[in-house]
Amino acid sequence: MTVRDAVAGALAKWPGIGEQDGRVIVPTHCLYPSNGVITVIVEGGVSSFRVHDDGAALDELEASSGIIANPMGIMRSATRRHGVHITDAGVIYSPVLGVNELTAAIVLVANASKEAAHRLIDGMRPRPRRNFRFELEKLLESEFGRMPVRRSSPIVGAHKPHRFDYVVIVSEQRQLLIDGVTPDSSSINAAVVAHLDVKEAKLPNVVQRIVYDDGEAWKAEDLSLLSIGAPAVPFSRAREALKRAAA
Amino acid sequence: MASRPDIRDVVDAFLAKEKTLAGLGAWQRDSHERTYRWVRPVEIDGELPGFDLTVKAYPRNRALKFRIILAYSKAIWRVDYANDSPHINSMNRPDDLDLGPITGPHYHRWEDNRRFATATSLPSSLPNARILAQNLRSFDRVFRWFCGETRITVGSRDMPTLPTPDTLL
Repeated sequence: MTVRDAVAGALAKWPGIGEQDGRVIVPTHCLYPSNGVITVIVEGGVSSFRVHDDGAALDELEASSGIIANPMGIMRSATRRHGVHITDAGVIYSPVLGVNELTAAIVLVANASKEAAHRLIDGMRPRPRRNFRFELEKLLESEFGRMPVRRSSPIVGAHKPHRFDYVVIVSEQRQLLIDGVTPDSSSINAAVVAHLDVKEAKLPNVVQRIVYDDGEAWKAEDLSLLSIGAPAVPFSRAREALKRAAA
Repeated sequence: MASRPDIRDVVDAFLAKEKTLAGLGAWQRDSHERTYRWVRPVEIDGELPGFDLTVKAYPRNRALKFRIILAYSKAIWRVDYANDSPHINSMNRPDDLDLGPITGPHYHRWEDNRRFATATSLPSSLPNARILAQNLRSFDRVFRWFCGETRITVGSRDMPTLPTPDTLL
């Protein structure tokens, strides 16, 4: 057996094309970030065809449990050079084309789907752990004996009104404004801006705290930024810290 | 502030413990129209440590297709049940894993992909997978098997029913 024979034999074992509900499924040699083989779908008739990825690039993001802002914009940017289109549902597809263009269209759609998936995965942020806010809310309920007011009416700061995650009315003379934050820039910025503005307003009877999820990885500079808005409290020590703040 | 624990140890410890599902599951349309998502937080000793169990359904697919994902912000254990999505394993894989291709339903377990995590971050994808056993060819069986592998106790009320195009109309 020659090397050529060995290679030919190995490649012959690659998954072949399949057919399902009138659609032809074509496994390519491209891989998604998960190492899933990129398969494209060919639909059409005798002389005209359309090739698409069945939304698999976007599915890669969701299988990783990640989220990303504006996935469609990222996908369009990643695939523009291949001349393919994208539906609102995230399906990457070719124009209708003839049999002579089919091979190239399969390659282009597969590579467009690959590039889109990589851009989505590279840009994704982890889905927020759902328990942080839930646990913070439970802590506030147990500590203060009543349901904290979530998304209260706005508190007017030095420049504009702001809403906080929780406003605990400790007494007629004291209310506690609390935001829970996770280590992403939108969460951090929103909390810091609101707390800073209210701090500048020097409202009487208002105590401010930012509780951060210390189960997550935080950059030191982000923690410093939080402290500019209000004293920052790690969630693991929030019970004691909030008790002191309310006293 | 106390140093954060190694995230790999957090996942190891989580998987080693007996767990239950918290809350109530409901199917919700995913970020694009083809798929639906069912999510339940995972509970240990009355606490929710931040792990979610998600089922993704593809009700418009004629052939059975779904994913089951255990995530700690990112996926750590996953079943990809589909016959049209072959998979290739990484060159960096356990000795007992073939490179592939795997052409049928398969699963990505934490133990095979832990090597791609660091002390502070989980991998964005799970490149190593194993073939799902031939006797696991229905959603109910795979779901119960998955929960068994990950030590999640499943009660009768915890079993999701995969949506069909009709049930979602």
